[in-house]
Amino acid sequence: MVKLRLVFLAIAGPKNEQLYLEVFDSLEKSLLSKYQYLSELSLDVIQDLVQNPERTSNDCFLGLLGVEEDISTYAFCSNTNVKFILAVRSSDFVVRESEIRQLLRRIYTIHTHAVCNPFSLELTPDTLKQSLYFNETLQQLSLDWNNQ
Amino acid sequence: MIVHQQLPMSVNLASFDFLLIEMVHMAKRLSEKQETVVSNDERMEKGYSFLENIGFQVGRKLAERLLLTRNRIVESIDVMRFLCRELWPIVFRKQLDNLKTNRKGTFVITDNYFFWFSKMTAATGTEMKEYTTPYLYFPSGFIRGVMHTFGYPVQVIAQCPNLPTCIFQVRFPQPSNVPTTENAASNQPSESAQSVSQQNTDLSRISGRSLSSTTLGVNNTPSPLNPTNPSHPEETS
Repeated sequence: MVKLRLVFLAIAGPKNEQLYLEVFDSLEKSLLSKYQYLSELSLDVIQDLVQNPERTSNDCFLGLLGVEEDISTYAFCSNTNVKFILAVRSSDFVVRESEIRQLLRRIYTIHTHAVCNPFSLELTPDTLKQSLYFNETLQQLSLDWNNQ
Repeated sequence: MIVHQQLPMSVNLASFDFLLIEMVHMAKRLSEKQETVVSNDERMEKGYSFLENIGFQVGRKLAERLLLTRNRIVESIDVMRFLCRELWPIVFRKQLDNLKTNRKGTFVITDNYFFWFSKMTAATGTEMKEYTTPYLYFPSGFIRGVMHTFGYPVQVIAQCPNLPTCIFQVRFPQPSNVPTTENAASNQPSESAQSVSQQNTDLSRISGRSLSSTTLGVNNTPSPLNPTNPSHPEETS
């Protein structure tokens, strides 16, 4: 079976609490703790990157954060201090940064749509898990991307 | 999906106006049913606090939507600029007239000809205060919501000295360990003041980066109901 390219997606809120962690390959649910560890690592890297006063670009997309084993992580930090961490399997496939940038921007867009739901009051770890719109659209996005 | 409309959105605007007027009336009815409070002011605060919460949610979500296509906004000054130049015309149909700061974390927003009040009565003094105060809760909640999206737990005070001018004071939390006088204020962030002398704080034109009172969210306590939590963030100068 062909391995899926996307490994996991983690979303962290303004206080670095974890809002959402989704593993795309259902066979790898056992590696959840490893991916949580990876996402915490990425959060630290993001914090370093963002607080660096010599950062010239004002862009939201933070680029490649690091490579561990065969997984490379990319991050996107929005204006509302919500961070998106996407991990892709980079050993078998060549990954272009522009694709990741586009994908992360789409994920940010659907996250905003889900959060702007007028019936949701606070941004808790349950908000995104319970949002049907978010889950389904994310599945669709990942399927599309994997089938490219 | 954000659609920037060039045509006048008369149906949208009219329905928004009517909805807001009716909401204020409902809040007034709710506040009159309260029996356990002592003074008139307290009753008004309790009854109208839900208007402020609605404004808060609207501000939060509108800010989230509009930030979709933007690059990073880091400084508190940039945040205020974003609020004044982009958000205010969308909700209140006109640009803000004046934005001043006193470098210690307070901004003053002045809006001459606040359009909600442009058609109101010509009464002055205490009567006018009674009429206009309920309508000020929504905008102050709105400002507070926008600031909360960026992670700043601010305190907003709204005043209406003359019809139709409106003044909003936005106080950022102080980045030092000394508890400031804002912490002694009550939990309700908007009040109406009659004395004009409150506006004569130390105001100077905005310049420089001396105002950042928070980092990117690590040490923040952005709880919406408690805007006066003293926090110890690092300075980003």
